[in-house]
Parts: sequence; structure tokens; C-alpha cells
Amino acid sequence: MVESRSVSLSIVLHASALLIAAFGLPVLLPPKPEPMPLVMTVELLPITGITNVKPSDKPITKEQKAPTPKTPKPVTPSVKEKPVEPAPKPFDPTAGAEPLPSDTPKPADKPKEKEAEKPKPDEFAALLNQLKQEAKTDTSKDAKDKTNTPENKTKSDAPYDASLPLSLSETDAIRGQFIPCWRMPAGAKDPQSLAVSVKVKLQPDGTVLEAVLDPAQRGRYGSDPFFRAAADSALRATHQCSPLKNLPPEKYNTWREMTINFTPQDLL
Amino acid sequence: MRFSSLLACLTAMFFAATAQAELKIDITKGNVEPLPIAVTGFTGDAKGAEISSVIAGDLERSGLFKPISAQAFIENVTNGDAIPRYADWRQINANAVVTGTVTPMGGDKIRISFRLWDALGQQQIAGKEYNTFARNWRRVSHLISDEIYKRMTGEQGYFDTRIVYVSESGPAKKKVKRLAIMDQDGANHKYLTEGGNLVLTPRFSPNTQDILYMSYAGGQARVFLRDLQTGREESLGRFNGISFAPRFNHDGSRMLMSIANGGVTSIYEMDLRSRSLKRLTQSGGAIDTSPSYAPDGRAIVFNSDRGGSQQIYTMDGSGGNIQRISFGSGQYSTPVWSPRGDLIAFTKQTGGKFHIGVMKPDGSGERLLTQSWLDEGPSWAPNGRVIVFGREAPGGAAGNRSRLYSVDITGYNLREVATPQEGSDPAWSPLLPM
Repeated sequence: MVESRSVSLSIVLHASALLIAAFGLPVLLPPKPEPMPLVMTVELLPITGITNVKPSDKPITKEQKAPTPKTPKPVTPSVKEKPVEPAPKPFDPTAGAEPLPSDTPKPADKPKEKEAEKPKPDEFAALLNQLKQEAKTDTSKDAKDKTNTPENKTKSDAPYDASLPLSLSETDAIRGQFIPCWRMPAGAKDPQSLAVSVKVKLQPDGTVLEAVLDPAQRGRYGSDPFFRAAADSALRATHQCSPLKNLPPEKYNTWREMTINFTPQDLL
Repeated sequence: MRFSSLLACLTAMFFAATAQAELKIDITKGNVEPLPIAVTGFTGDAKGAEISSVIAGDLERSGLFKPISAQAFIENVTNGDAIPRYADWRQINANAVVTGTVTPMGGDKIRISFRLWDALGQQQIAGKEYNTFARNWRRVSHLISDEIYKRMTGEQGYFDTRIVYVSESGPAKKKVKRLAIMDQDGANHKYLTEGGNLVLTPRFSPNTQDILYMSYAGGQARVFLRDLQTGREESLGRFNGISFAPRFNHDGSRMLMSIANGGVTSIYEMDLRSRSLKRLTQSGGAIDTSPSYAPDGRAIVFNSDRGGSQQIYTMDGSGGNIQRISFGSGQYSTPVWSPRGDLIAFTKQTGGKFHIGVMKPDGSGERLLTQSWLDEGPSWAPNGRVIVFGREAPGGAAGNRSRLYSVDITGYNLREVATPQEGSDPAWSPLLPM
């Protein structure tokens, strides 16, 4: 009796576990019924984001704190680049010592480039990062409407909602930017087999912070020269399109990391 | 215990579901513009500028690269081994940068090295050095072009190759036709025959040391084999009837040709060691010609009018299982199997025009790449990516004008292959042995 009960309980639990595995938890437990209508409105309107006001009650004075830890991030990759470069040297042992001189003049050039780009993102990034931090701390609280306060009025244009997906028009706008950047492997044998996934991290201003090949494809990168060329082409496209434009700042959390699949279609 | 494991399982699934929410964007459209590349002058020796000029010329002719004019360069590269200033190259939209050095090694020897840099990914992606005689600088330049091409496209290059063709000169009614050979970029041009006998359809052996061709030497059209190094020429036999349209198999041990006798033209295979002949097709009254092996030698594509009009057929290596693969309107001729096996190139005549086209070996996916008054005789570059062919244009009283052209299999990048005089019947060599 006890056994049969536990057997049936086991069957029920297994079945439910299988159901969840097949359809995902969100189907069974619609997690946030409230934001959904907001998302829907966003999807229907070509211009999104502005309607999604989710005010916070934090005063704007705290902004100084938040930006400092975040903004240094973008700088790190430019420093990283240098150690990477000498690595390919083994190709030519005879020239081993020579790349060094070029390393020394380099710092003078690099900062120039960075400094020129930096000022722009700084203010904006500061604002967004602050908003993001607030949103994190506010999740537990009920959002009290303080939009009328002068401080929040300045921020209400860029509310943070991590659950916001990009609208179709927004993703289309990203796709459109890649057309001039991405050179497809035209004329390659079986180009449809050369689909490449690139994992991209973006700064708030759309600048590509990091673009790496999907780890699952790294093995093929090392063994298949056609794929390696296609992957390099996709990575170059990602860098060439940097900074990505017209990304909705209020949805930074949605697009700060994304996977871009470069799939050659309709190619000869 | 069981409950806690169930809970852990559910939690894991929850996080898996959340992780799926990552933003994914599918990019299905890009462009097919040539890649801007900066080929800087190789440092260390006066030859450096010529080397980079040959490389830039190779890459530009491929249609896949657009070398940037040196006048636009911001960085003046003085050390071909140093890391380039990526920002400077990005600023002039260079996606890739080629640098290199030439080092005299004493005597007539030099060392040429190159590095290929990804200006956007900011890293070196290829590099090699070649120790050679100074006189080989041009060939090394082509080898470097091949390395760059391979790294950027994944395909073998085709720059370290030669083209043999029929050079035509003299008045229209009495043209002198001579076999000529040159590097694929037109350099090192030389004539192989004197022009006393009409020669047609030269074809390279896989080791690039021999060519097969048809010649009227001795008054009858026959197939000859010529050693390119010694210049020695030999007939591959006197047959009843004329022999023509020769072609090597993939390892050079056998060859195919047509022999016409008594109104029937059939395809034969000859073992080049034993010189034994084997007839592969027999079709009463039909003309079977232009045979070409698949890269693995297991199948043969040829041209036949056995169905009433000239069409393309395939058969297996021993002559069995003959199947027609061309079904479009018009007449098809001179089929050639691509070295990479995926396509068959052909000449097509339809609507009063001639075309060079390609189709898959099963006959599907036919695409016409060119159109003119007379295009004919395609030959593949060794990477199966580019086709060279002959084009004749009506020239009025002065006679027709024959030239060599090349086209990419995408149908883009049609361009003339410069020859000192008129040219027809080109054949692209395999990559030259190192």
C-alpha cells in the first residue's frame, strides 16, 4: 500500500519534472504577470522603451558612488591586448626580438585612442550604471511613485527593467548595422555550414568590450580552416560595427551581453 | 533526502530556463565587398617594394581583396617584424595588414618573411619565412599571396600557378597558333612551340611538369605529350582517325581522349605507363568528346550528341552508368570537373550567345557566369574557385579578336588575363610543387 503510494508519487513527480524540462518552468509558473502587458505594449510600438517608466525612489545624489567601480572596466581590454600580440611570434623565430621596440611606442598611441572615445560614454554610462544599481536594490520594495520629485524627473527617461526584451524593430536595427560590416563567405564550398556564434559584451554606449567565439565552436576553429576564416570574419564584423548604434539605453541589461549568430543564407 | 534532490533538480532547471533568456541575434545578411587590406612595402631590401606590389596585385585580381593605396597609409612601416599601430590602420579602414622583411643572406640567397595582422581583432594571424635564391623572389611573393588568401578565406590559394594557352598571331585567315606558358599574373611568358603546326587544347599534368595537347604535326591531328623542362615532345600513338581532347587523371597515371573514326567519336582511356588503350564509350554515330575526370577519378563527365543535341553526361570511371545531367535549353560542351569536386563548368550556347556556366555534378543548380559573342573552354584554378576561359569578339575586317578572361564562380570579377598577343584555349596549372 505504502509502496504503491510512493510509486505513484514518484510517477507524478517524474512526470512533472519531465514536463518542466520539456516546456520550461516559466510556462508552468508565469513568473511576472505584471510586466508582461508592458512588454506587449513595447512590442506593438515601433518606438519602445519610453513608455516603460519604472521610477525609483532613490535620490540622484548617489550617482557618484556607482559609476566609479563600473567605468574602469572598459579600459582593461585595451591593456590586455598587448600581452596577446607577441604570442604569435613563434611563427618567425628569427624576428623574435624585434617586435619589442614596437611595444614601447605603443602605449603612447593607445591611450590617445581610448581617451578620444572615453568622454562620451562616461556620463551616460555613469547614469545607466547608477540606474542599474538602484533597480537591484529596489526589487524588494514596492515602487513608490516619486516621479514628481525633481531628481527623479531627470531619470524617468531611462528606467531599468531587466526583463525587457528588445522589440523586433530594435533587433532589426542591430541586424541592419551588420550588413556593411560582415563579409559573407561568398563562393565558399557549402557556405551554409559556416554558421558562427559570437558572444559579445557591450558597454552602455554600444562599444564592443569583448567579442569571443562561442566556446562550443572553438574546437572547429582549430581544425577547420574554412570555419576559422568564417569565424574571423564574423569577429571582425563585430569589431567593425562597434559601437553598435541606436540601442535602447533603458534595456542595457538585456543587450549588454548577447550572442550574435552569423549564418550565411542565400549564398552561392 | 529524496525531496531535497528533487528541489535541487527543480532549481537547476529554473536557472537553466533563466539562462535561455540571453539575447540572441541572427545575422543572415552581409555583403560580398572585397576586403580592404594594406600590403606594406617589405623592409630591409630594395626588392621589398616589388614583392609587396606582386602580392597586392595577386590579391586584387582575386576580387576578394581591395588593397589600399600606399598613399593612404598613416603608419610608415619601417620594421616589417613589428606590431603595426592598429588604430592607424583601422582609421583607413584596413581590415588586415601585411608586413614583411627581406634579408640578404650572403651570396645570391635571401630570406623573405611576412606577417599577416588582423587590424580589427588586433593580432597576428599568419606568418612565414622563406629562404631562397634571390631570383625566386617573384615566386615567393605568390606563395605569400597564397598563404594570405588561405588564411582569410579558408581555401587554398591559386597564385603560385601557371597558365598554358594557345597564342594567336598574324592575319585572320592565316593565324599562327603557338603554345605559350606564363605565370598566372602574366609574368615569365614564353612560347613553347614555333607555330609551324596548329596546336589546340593544352592540358597540365597534376605535377605541372608535362602537358598534353593536340597538334597537326605530321599532317593528322594527334595527341602529344610534352615535358616542359626538357621540351621533349612525343606522340601518344597513331590511331585510325584523329585523336583529340586529351586530359590527365588526378595522379597523372592515365589520360582520357577522344578518337574519331568512321563517323563515330568515342572516349578512350590510356594508361600512360603501358600505353594500353581502353574504349569507354560506344554509341553508334554519336560524337562523345571533352572527357574530364572527377577529382577522385571515379567518375567522368563528357559531352555527347547521342540524344540529338550536344548535352553533358556523366559515367563511372570504367564507362558504365551513363547519365545525362544537362537539361536546359541550348547546347552544352567542354564540361570540366572542378578540382574541389562540387561543380562542373561548361560552355553553353543558347539564344545566339555563348556562356560559361557551372552546375552541380547531378545537373542541378545550373548558373551561367558569363555571356558574350563567343565564350568557350573553361579551365579551373586549382582551388575550384576561379575559371579561366577564351573569349572571342567579332572584329570586322580585321578578323575576330581572341582573349583570355577569368571569372569567379560567383559570377563576379570578370576580367581579362593579359597576354602579349591574342590567346585562346587556356589551361590553369595545379599549384606548383615546392
